Amino acid sequence: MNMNEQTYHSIDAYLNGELHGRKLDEFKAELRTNKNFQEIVTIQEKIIAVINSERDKELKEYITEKTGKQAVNPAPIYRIWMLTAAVIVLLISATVILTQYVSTTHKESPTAIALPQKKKTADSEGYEPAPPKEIEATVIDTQTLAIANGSDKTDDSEATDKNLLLENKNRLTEPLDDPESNDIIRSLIEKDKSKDTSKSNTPLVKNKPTNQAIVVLKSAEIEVRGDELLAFKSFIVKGIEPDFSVDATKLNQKQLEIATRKKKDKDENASSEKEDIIIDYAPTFREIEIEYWKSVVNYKGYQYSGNKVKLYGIDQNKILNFKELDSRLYLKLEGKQYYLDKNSKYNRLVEVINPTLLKVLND
Amino acid sequence: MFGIGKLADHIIIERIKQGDEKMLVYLYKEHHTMVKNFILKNNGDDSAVDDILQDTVIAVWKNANKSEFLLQAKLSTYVMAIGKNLWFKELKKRTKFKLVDEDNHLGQGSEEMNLDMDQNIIRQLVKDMDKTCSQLLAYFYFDGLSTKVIAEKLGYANADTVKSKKYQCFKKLQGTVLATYNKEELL
Repeated sequence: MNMNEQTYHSIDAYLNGELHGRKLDEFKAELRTNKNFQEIVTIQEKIIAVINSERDKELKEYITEKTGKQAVNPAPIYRIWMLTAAVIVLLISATVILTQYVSTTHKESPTAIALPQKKKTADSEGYEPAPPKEIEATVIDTQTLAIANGSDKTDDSEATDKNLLLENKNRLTEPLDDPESNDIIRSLIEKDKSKDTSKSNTPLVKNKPTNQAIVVLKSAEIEVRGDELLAFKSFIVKGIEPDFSVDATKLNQKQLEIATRKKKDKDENASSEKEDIIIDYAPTFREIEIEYWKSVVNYKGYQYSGNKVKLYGIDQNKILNFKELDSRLYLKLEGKQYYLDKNSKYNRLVEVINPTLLKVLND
Repeated sequence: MFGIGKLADHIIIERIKQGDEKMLVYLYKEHHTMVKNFILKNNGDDSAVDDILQDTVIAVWKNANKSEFLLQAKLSTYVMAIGKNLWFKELKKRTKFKLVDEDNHLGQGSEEMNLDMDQNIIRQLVKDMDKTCSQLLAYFYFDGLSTKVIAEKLGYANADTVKSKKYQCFKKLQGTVLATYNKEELL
């Protein structure tokens, strides 16, 4: 059974259905008549069938190998296990994070660690330490009080009548039961005193960590002070008009001399001014007390109660001259006349600008 | 899948014609859910899904390599159409086998068994033959690849070389078959 290449390709074409027309007719005629040719075609057909079958099997194995049933369609149990594992990991992570957060928050509580344990006494029973926020609110009030470094006024008894802030300060600065803690706080206070006073105005900080909670105690050493009395003097006020209504305080010549002597004893610094004090033997004279005050807010003005004048922001070395006209007190300072009205509050110095009045006062 | 995203239909067909076997896997995975749902809704079970889907993508593979192939619908529609036909054919076959078994017709079974025996003889010889030859013959007869593509895949100079090589391989296989077994047994 010999088969040349042309026959082989013709059989291939026939089996693939690619023979048409005359070629197909000739092939079919040969197939009918030639038995040997029939055998050749049959064998070739069978071999091709086996080749196709083998290739089909090969491709199916390739697909199975590449896809894999589990990869394409994961079993539900597998998915459930994956989800369960993911949820467990998430829960553990959340627990760890929350635990860290809670412990950090607890450590940052300033009252829990920083505040000293107040000894229970009869007065302090039921007392709850004010939170730092209240202290902050008190510090803000600077109109009448000022916050300064407690260098010259450390007396608690004086501070307690100031305001709630000092009360809180005293509570905070009470000695701790633990002597070691007392030493730490004391060293911090000493260190704080040596620093610039401006640093003490730093606002209190709330919710600081443990090490900074001691700073709260250090800040509690802030001393609050009011207006400061610098000096006081006595002056003789001359009533310009004869009808000046100071009968009750009218002094005779002898009383006037006594008043002048007292003035000299009280204020040695003002000795240079005695020559400037008007000792006029006019019809009406009276003694008046002058206090020199330094305001914490550098206020410049006066407070006049009738027989005492508080001067704020006026240099005590400057020459003053008081006159009274029509029940009104006038102050001459640096060549200018100022009107002092009776008041219970603080007033600014009001300059006299009326020329007629100025002429009378300056005469 | 293999680092490729969603491919256009014409690209898939083109790559099939180039003999890219990865497209078989791609088609399989892309249409697995669709074919599975169809089979399960039509008296099928999970065990039949893979066989039907494998036959489907291989049919698409073979058809796409035919010269007269022209895709006139979406490839997914085409794949599903083949899958449906194969499944209905399988259902008919199952019904037919059931009827044959009930009627106890053994004559046909004997003939099929003889055919299987002939094929087994040749199959063993095909397996034993040179790998390049078996690949060449498989690409040509089963895959339906053009001689030009086969030349590119197997590293031959041109299509004529492939044609010549194919004849040589086939003649060698045919001679082995005839030499090993009696011609009368095969016929």
